[in-house]
Amino acid sequence: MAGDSALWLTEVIRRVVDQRRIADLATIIGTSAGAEELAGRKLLVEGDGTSWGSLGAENLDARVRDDAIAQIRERRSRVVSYPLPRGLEDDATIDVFHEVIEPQPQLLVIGAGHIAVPLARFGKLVGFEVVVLDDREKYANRDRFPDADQVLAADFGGTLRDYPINESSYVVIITRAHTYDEEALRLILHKPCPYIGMIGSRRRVQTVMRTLVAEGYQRERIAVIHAPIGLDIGAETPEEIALAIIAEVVAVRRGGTAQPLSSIGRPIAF
Amino acid sequence: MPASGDTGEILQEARRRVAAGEQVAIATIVQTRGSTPREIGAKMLVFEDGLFMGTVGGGCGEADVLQATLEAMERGTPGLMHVDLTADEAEESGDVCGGIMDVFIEPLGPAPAR
Repeated sequence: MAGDSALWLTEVIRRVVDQRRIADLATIIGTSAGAEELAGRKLLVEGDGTSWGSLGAENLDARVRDDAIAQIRERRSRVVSYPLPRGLEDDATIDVFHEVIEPQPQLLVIGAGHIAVPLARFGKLVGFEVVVLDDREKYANRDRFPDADQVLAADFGGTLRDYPINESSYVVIITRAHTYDEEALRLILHKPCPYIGMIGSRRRVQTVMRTLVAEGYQRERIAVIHAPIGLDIGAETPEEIALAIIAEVVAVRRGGTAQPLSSIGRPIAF
Repeated sequence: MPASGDTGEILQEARRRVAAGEQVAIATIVQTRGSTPREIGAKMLVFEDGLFMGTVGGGCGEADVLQATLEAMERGTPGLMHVDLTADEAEESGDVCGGIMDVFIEPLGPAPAR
C-alpha cells in the first residue's frame, strides 16, 4: 500500500481518463487464507491487451489479462474467482474485481439555439463532457454556455469532418435549418456513436431522411437515428424539450427502457 | 456501466490528495444483488477528516460503509465489506432498499501513524 498508492492512480488517469480510452482495472479484493497481503494489488489492462502492474503471480496476471480483454469487449464489470497459482493449497482462490472503466461520455450539441442552452446544463449535471458547435459566434459563445467544456464557433462541416466521434459520443443535432442537419448527419452517420438524435417535425425529419437515402446512405443506419428527438413528455418550452432530449440520451447510455417505472413489472398490492 | 465521469473525477481528486501527503480511502461497490441505490463500480472517496466525495447509496448503508472506511484508513489495509440492505436489517433505520452489496475498501496514501 503506502508509497505504491499514487502509482496506480497516476497510471489509470494517464492511460484511461486523460486519453478517453476504455480499460479494465483488475483488483484483488479477497483471497482465501494465507494470501491476504495480495489484497489491493492491481493489473491495468487496455483494450489492445497492453497491461501495467501485477497481481503478484505471472500465470495469474496472464489469466486475468485474458479475461480483462473479454470484459472490456462486453463493457461489464464483475468479480471473478481464480484458483491460486501452483505451490499453494488446491482449493484456495483469489477473487479479482474486473472494473471496466470507460471514458466520460461526451454530449456533442450541434446547433447553439434556444434548446442548446438548457441542454448543455442538463448534460453537465448528468455527467457528460459537453461540447457545443454552431457557425454563429453570436450563439456559440462562453456567455451563453459558461459550463460547457468546449464551445466552438465554426463551420459545421469543416469541424465535424475531423472531430473525434467514437463509442463515447452522444450527438444531438438541433441546428436552425434542415440543410445543416443533413450536412452534420452525412459526416456522422458512419461513426460508431451510440446515440444520434435530430430535432424536427415529422415532416422535417422525413425530408432529411429521404434526402440521405436518395444520396445512397444506408436505410438501416438512418433508421436508428432518434428523430424526432427526445421522449414524449409533452414538452413545449426549450427547457422542457432539452429535458426530453437529455432523458432520452441517459436512457440510451444506461440501457433504460424510457418507460414509467410504475408501469414496469408486477403491480404493487396495497 | 460505471461511468468515468464520476470515477475519473474521484481518481483525480484522490491523486491530488495523496500527492499532497494526505491519506484517503476509496470504497467501491464490486457486487450487488437485488435492488441497490448505486451500481457496480460506484465509488465514495473518503478524506482524513471524514468528509467524502461521491456516494455508494445515500441513506442505504452508506453510513456503515463510511464507518468501515474510516476504520480501514486507521489500520491501513484494504477489506471487503458485505452490506445487507434487505428489510429485516434496515427496519431500525427506516431505510427500505432491499438489496445486498459488497464494497471493497482500500486506503491510499501515506501509511497511518501507529
